[in-house]
Amino acid sequence: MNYSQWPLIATIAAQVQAGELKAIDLVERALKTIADKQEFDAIIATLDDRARERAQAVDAAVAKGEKVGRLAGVPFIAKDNFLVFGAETTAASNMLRGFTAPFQATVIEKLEAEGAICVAKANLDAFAHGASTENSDFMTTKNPHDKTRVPGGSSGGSAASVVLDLAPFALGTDTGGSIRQPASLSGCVGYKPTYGLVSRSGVVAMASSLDVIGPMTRSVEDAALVLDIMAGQDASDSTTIVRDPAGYVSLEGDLKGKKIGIIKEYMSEGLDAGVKKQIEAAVEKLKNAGAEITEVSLPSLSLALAVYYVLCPAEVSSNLSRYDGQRYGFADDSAKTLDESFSHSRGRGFGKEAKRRIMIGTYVLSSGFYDAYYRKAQTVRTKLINECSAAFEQADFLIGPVAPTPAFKIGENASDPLKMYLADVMTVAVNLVGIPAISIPAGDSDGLPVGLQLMAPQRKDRELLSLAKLTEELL
Amino acid sequence: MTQLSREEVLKLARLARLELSEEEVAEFQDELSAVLGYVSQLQEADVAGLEPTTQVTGLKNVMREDMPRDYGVDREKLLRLAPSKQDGQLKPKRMIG
Amino acid sequence: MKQGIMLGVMGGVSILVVAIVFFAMRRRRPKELKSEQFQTKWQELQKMCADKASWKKVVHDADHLLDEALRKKRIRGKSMGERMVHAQRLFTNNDGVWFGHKLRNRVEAEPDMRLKEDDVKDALIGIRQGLKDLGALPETKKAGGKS
Repeated sequence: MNYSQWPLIATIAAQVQAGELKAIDLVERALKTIADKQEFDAIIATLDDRARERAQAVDAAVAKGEKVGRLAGVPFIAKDNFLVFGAETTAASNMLRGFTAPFQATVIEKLEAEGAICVAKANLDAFAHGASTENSDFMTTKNPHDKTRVPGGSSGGSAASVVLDLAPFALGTDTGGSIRQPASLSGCVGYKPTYGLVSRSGVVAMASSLDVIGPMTRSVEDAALVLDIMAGQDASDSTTIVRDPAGYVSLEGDLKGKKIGIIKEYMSEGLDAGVKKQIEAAVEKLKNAGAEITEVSLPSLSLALAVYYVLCPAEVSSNLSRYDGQRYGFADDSAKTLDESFSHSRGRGFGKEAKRRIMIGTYVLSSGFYDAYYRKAQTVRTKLINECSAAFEQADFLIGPVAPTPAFKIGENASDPLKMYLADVMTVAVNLVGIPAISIPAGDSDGLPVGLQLMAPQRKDRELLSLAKLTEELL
Repeated sequence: MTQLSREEVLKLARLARLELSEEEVAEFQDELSAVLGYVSQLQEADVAGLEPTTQVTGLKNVMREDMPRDYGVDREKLLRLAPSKQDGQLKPKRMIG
Repeated sequence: MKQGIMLGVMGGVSILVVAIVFFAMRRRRPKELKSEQFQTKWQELQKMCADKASWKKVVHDADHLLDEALRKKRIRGKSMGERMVHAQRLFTNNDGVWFGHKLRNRVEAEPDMRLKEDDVKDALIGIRQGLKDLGALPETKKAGGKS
């Protein structure tokens, strides 16, 4: 990566703990950079006061000789669907404008317990529905490499924040590619852990069988450290799994003998020539470094996007039913009856894409259609999972592109929802199966970043990060 | 998949408690039909012998002690978020009549 | 003279073509499995279940037996998983066979893991049904005529 004003996260924390760096200076640096780069519209709000308070607390603890933590003084930016104190949590939707979180997300608590300091909330597609941030009810984030193009989405603000050097790391969520695709389009590392590895308590829910939380960073090493702190079972999230006892920071091993399978279905026509060139170049480098390259086929991948756009809206329609204008969030005061209050508040508070997904979800779950759509999609999901298990018997890891094209122009796909959905075609399968995946920068196509996607079986996060670190060094 | 009718869109909006404008109803007719048309390719998939997947962790019956936990959230904090309240309670609009 | 050679060559080629088509068609037709060897092996595995220490071997061998059946039935695939995917239509309960197969994979990957009795039972039930579906084991006929 090019020059950054932030050292590696572990280095920053060590320097703060040693008193060589002051947390307050780091926070001020972050806030200033955010202000300087405002034109990119990556940030919805900054947590000025709270960040400064926490920085002063960290510095005071260091002065007293106390141990602060592995992220001592490290500023970070959270996607605005994470509940955090100190600023509103809006999920970039009018529905939650003015909403201040009554509690914080578990991962925020975990990161803060290690001394990290949240300085800002990043823009996203409203409720994480989208692949460009154009569905944000507030603004569209600009790609740091080209302001006429999108940064990707839905964690577009988080990706742009990292590339613009606003903070050492950012948090994103990935339901169908929302960490990996913006990481690829904007040019940073985006890690999607095994489903269930990181607690989702306190993060605005989108599709509960698909959502995961992950770090977005400038290097694999940084992503591994942040994951190590976030991962682990949580009593507040019953879908969490046990973490790897070996942790996620000792990334070892070498490429010799590692079997890497190119996913045949991702390398077909429809893939931008420039992207294809970079993926093939990366594979060549891995081969020369001793990896065994093979080809695997997952025939049901051609149905993955259809499965996703049945299951995801169905789960969204369920999760968004909590926004009723009664307990929190936008409420339409002109309503005369309770029923009107529901319909008006939701009709006016939600953006177009949220309504679209709620209605598709309602349709596929309704009686008469449930079996043909929802149940069928869940069964095709099983087929995809089995094919993926079979693929992992032929290869230790899978490789492919992240997105079919580099960053597209703002407005190019916005008027055609189906066209926008196709941006996810190479990322959704991973969420359906629940395996971990990462996007790392792999050169560019006509000046726009291209990401390389690496995947591993469920619960092999440390192995995947190890491979990613080795690959990063080669590229 | 044939085009959704105006009535079907209005029915979905009713089920989901979403009030839509006239333009929205017309737009959604087209957009929803396009998406549903795309996903209907699932009909052809051969899934003989397979069961649906509801979750991918394999976890079953995750339990915890039935003890209350303190999240540091009190009634005041929550009521402050409510759009309409009275006497420490939520006050919704008229339900009957 | 030349005509004779020509006829000879054509005859030879025809025989060759017929032979190729014959063997190709043999490959395509699914093979009927000889059930006795599978039944004997399965009975052995059931006896081994009594000893908790041999559970890991039982799971491993049952999975191997299933793959043998898949290969004897000429199901295509570069790995057992791929063969199982291609045999999807033959299995009455894919979840069951996959549970057994995945348990075997886990046992191999984690040598220290402790096997739970319920998991071993479920794995064997799943694999046994898979073997029945492939014709390696006979369908049990219950009294009353319904299987």
